[in-house]
Amino acid sequence: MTEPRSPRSDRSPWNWVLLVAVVIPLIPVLFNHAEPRLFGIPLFYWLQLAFILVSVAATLIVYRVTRR
Amino acid sequence: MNEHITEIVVFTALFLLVSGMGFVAARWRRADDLASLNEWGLGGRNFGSWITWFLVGGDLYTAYTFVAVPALLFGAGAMGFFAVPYTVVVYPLVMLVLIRLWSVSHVHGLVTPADFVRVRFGSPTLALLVAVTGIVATMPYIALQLIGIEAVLKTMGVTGDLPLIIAFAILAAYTYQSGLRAPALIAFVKDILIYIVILVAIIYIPARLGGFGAIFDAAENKFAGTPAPGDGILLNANNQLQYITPGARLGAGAVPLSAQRDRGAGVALAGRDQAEHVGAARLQPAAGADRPARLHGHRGRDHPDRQGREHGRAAAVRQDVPRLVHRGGVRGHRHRRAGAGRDHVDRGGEPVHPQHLQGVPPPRRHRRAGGPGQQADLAGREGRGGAVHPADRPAVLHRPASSSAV
Repeated sequence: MTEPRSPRSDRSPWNWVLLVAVVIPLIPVLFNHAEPRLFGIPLFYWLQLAFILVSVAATLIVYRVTRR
Repeated sequence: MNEHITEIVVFTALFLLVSGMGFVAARWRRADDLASLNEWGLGGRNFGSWITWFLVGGDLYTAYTFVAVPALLFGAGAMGFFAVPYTVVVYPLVMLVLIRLWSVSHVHGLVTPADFVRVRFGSPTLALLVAVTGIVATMPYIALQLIGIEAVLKTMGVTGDLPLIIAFAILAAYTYQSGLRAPALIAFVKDILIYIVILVAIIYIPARLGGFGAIFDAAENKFAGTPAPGDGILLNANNQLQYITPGARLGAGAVPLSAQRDRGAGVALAGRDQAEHVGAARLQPAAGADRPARLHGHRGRDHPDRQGREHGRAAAVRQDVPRLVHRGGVRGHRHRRAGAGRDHVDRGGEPVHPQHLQGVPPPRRHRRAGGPGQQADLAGREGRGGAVHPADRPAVLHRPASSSAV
């Protein structure tokens, strides 16, 4: 509970990894297609669901690498 | 009444179970002093990752995700899917701020976002504004919870105010007694129910309807048959931008919260949009963008025992508070939103979320905008749902009502 008095910084180049998970889902050109389907599900839906894994991976990496 | 007997039995059993757990929760991970806001509002700050995971899960997946978003998908198609990428995008962003906010609050014993603001900026006035804003903004959501419970009751054929009052009194009572421990414990039940729904949705329903391929083909045919230009199983050239920019709608969509319900957002939105249910689609991203706002401090209560110390701590906190947050201009509301599941207490069994409120209006517009096939389908469901909010346009909540009874 004692407060660390040394100036701390959250700066880390690893934080930029998060940008991947933020930007990719915002590019409709990537996913706004019906084909190829996966189990009958159009690309639009299954690929955006797959982006969840990207987001999870990015946050996980950044968390593991930057935590002290 | 007889045709509702199954629903009533299931509802009653779950309600008793959840209520019982709500009261028992006070003794769960027993606190030395439940009267302290730390214990009441934050569960003693010692919920570990697992409990928090369940709690946040129970928070996120609500009537909004189970009713409003599916309704929007049903009515408008791809546009309604924004909720998925929206969440994907928000988590990494929030993570940047949340970890630091948590540790600063932990070190300095801050409980509410108002605490944080007071200590961080040294301004009791600002903190008061944050607290008052949080409380006022919560009111419509509480009202919406009442409407939600009412809708569930009506789906079962139970009408009148008394059952509603009793139900809400029980929810309020165990929340008052147990604080955050109640929703946290109940979240385990809720999450299990959510998983059941998900499994049914991705296994049983497609199996009954001939697989996902058949479902999407049918959806495509349906959208092709409607005059509305904005629907379809894919985005078109006109709505891609609004799909990816929920935040841009925040200002327009989030402000008239109560107005949307009481005076009919349909009117306001229809004025802006060619097709009505495109209006719904645009409202939804706005609602989504507003969702994190629920994370911020609803409950800026006063802490007399703490006030004396606060100014002394202000300087220390200011040093601690993340450069990260200051960089890049992500300050202000993101701080507060980061209060997150931790001090999210003022609900009775169900989380009180903006998303509920904002999630409700769209179905009404789908109904109008949909083709004949959709109308028929909806009508079939409405027969079960019954009127929900007589004062309002009765259509508003039906689909949510019958669906949320799952």
